[in-house]
Amino acid sequence: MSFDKEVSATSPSQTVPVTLTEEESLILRSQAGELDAFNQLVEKYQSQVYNLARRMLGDPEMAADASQEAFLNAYEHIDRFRGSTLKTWLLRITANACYDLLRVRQRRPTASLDDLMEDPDDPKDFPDKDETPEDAALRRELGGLLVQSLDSLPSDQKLVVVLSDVQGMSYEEIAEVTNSNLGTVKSRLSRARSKLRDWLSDRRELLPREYRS
Amino acid sequence: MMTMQHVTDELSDYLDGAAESPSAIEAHLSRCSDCRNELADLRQVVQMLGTLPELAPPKNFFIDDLMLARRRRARRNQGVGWIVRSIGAAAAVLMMFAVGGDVAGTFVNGAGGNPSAANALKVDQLKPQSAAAPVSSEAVSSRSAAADTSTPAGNPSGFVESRAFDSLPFRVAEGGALVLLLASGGALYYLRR
Repeated sequence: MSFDKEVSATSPSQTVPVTLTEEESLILRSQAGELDAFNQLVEKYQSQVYNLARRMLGDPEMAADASQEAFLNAYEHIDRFRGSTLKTWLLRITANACYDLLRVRQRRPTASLDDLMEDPDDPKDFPDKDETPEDAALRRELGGLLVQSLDSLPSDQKLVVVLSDVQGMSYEEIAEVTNSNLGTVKSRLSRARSKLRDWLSDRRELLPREYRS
Repeated sequence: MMTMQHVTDELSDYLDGAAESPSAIEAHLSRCSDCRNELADLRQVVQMLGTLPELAPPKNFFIDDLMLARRRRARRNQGVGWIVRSIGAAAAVLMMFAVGGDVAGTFVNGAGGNPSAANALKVDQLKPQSAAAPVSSEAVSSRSAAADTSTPAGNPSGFVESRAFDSLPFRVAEGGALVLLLASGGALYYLRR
């Protein structure tokens, strides 16, 4: 559904009708303090926000905390949102919330590697209802290994590789999320992939057969 | 013509179709099995990461007025906590100076091995400059004398019981610091509950 609204252009001599997208309209209403409008944006982006947090932190509860914190921060600072896309702005706030929690976890390490593994009993971790039990077992096995491999990376490299190779974002979008230039994005991504390659090569025998070549 | 220098650093960009000179990399790859293997490994890593599923959020992250109010209250308490901690720290420093000064004074005064001389000095310091208040001077002298009787006679070490806190400024500093310390401790306890 499109949500059209006319706003005045900057020139005082003429009024140009500007068609706002539904999202732009929701942003404007959120900036005016309408919680309902903001919650529609939450509904639209909460999956991407949660998935970034989950891949950054591993732990589902911490990821939920980081996501909630990110949306609260976003609402409180929505008046500062300018120019960039809402998605990259929200993901940048999410990344910062994750960094904060990672710092806390480094000071008080309580999560073991097992805690970071994909939970085999968690129904939310079964995205495809049609997959066979064998496929599901293999996917979970690989998923657990990949989560551990991601956890071996420094946070800045993990963020870039998750945004690129898990969430499928472009270099330009990643540069916006990480507030860095394209060269930095490329070099972080290159280093992250190389480290993951080394980490997984050392555990080749744990990979599913199709990836052992 | 490209030399046999490996193109490891460019392989990640090449994989994403973002290499600056893809034809040069391809030329190198055609001759270098190490880099071909490395590219295949990187491609596999990217492929594996792509298999990580999108997970459903465990709940909706909607925001309500209660959450915002709770957050504002927490932030306010953090602000108050910061003030209280600062006061507590200042009080602790004040107390350290008071106690430290007292201890230092004790050793300086006691080092001469002449307690009565040290006490006499203190009494002199406490005497009013004006001669119009002889009563208070006597009172101080008698208090000093009373304190002298509490000191074991013939103390061989020359260590004397301190009387630095007998002077009014020290009492104020000590008492104030103690009250501030207790108050900030109590406030911190209340805020952290």
